[in-house]
Amino acid sequence: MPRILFHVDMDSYFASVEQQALPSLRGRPVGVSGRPIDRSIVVAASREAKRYGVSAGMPIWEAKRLCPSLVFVPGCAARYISTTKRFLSILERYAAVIEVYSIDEVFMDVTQEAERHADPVEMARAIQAEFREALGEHITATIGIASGKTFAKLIGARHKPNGIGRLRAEELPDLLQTTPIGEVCGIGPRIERRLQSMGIKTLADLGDAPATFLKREFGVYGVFLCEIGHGRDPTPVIPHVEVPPPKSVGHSRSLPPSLRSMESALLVLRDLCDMVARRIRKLGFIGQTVHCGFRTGSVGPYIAKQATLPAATDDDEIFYAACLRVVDRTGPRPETVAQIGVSVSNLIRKEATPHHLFPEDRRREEIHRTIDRIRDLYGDEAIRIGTSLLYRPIPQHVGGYIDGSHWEV
Amino acid sequence: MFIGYTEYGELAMQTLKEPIDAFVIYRRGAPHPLLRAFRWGTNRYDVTSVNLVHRERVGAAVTVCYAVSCGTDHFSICYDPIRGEWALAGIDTDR
Repeated sequence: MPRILFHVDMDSYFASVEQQALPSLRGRPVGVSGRPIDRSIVVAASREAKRYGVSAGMPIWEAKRLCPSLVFVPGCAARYISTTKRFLSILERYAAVIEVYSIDEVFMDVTQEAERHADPVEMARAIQAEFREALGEHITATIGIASGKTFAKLIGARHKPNGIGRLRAEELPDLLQTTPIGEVCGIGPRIERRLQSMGIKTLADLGDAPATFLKREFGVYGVFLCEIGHGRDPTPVIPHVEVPPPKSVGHSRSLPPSLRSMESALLVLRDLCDMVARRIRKLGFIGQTVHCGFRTGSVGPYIAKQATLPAATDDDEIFYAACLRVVDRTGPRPETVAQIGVSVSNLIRKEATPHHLFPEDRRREEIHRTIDRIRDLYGDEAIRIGTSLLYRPIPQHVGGYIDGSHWEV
Repeated sequence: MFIGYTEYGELAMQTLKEPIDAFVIYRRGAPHPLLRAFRWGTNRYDVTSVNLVHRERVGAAVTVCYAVSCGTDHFSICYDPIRGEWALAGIDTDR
């Protein structure tokens, strides 16, 4: 029995949520961004903005040129996470196996559940109706239905926005003949160029290519290419309760012009190490390999190196010291830094390692535990590395400090 | 909080933290109190539609944020369930 998979994709998600929250934004081209300054980017564009050619990832200056009437709205992560939790709670009532692909995309295996509905399209309509009721009229989803994840996503994308696309078995040969390889999720521009140079332009061409040839050229990935070329995609829907353990934890930051000296960038790096260490501790891991990198200009190469510590740790100070060694190994320190980042890999579960032997290590562990407890209770801003105050003021909401003039009673 | 920029770079929503009196219904099973009206200063505003509700978390403290319309006016209202306090957080001034 062929599988029945849904790919649920929220339409222009962040922008739709903003339009739902604020009616005066409805019907207007909206761009969600960090800050509406020219060197920032559009994170999400509303349907109206997309008609002008504005798309996610586009620089603000370019979006303004394409659509001078574009309204910029700063993103609100809490609002999107909250909305995602609500639509996930609806989807969980429709299928037992749900894979959260991203904040606005979900795969569902409804092979068993679809029997209870007249047909899968009716089931998809019921989901859309529930979304409308629970989330509001402006937050819509497009649902693609097929026997494989790749094809469900592909057919859904052709029915945006607020549509339902179903790929029936008899329609598959025609789809393979007419679909350019670049339209398929998982085939990026580089692979697309390589395939095109081999004369492979459509999915059908991919199916005609010998499997041994694809495996030789692309390794394990060639097996995937071969399968989708034949209209098969056996990739399972991975339930979000079975999320594999993280391979690395990292943070990076693009720096504003005021922080582009190496001295300021290192202050930011210290904070990033603190954030990485906190996340690692929260996940219950310790890490041994520290990667650190930076970009000297907006479009310059990302210069990165790594260092392996003598022992795995979750201590931000040790991560920072390793980062400084890594930065020094990259050559003379540059005068300007546009972006800086750190990530820690080689993670192992902390519970699988012995307790610290030395009193100083035990003392530091206790300090971290206390800091984490304070942050869990009062937020991440409640206790910070002192050096961060050199470039980042205390936010108003922390401790009731208002306008820098008096304390809230 | 609710800040939008018009094409002229103006704020589309003022941000405030004004305490208000709220008229709500605590419905059994509802994830949050249902906001029906509020009083800000001497004016009473009847909520004609609740556009979006989301939760914000700082540490263990959770705030429930309502984006509501009262006729043609749009407001952002926050509820602190621990203190039982309601506050007006934003008004849409983009007319």
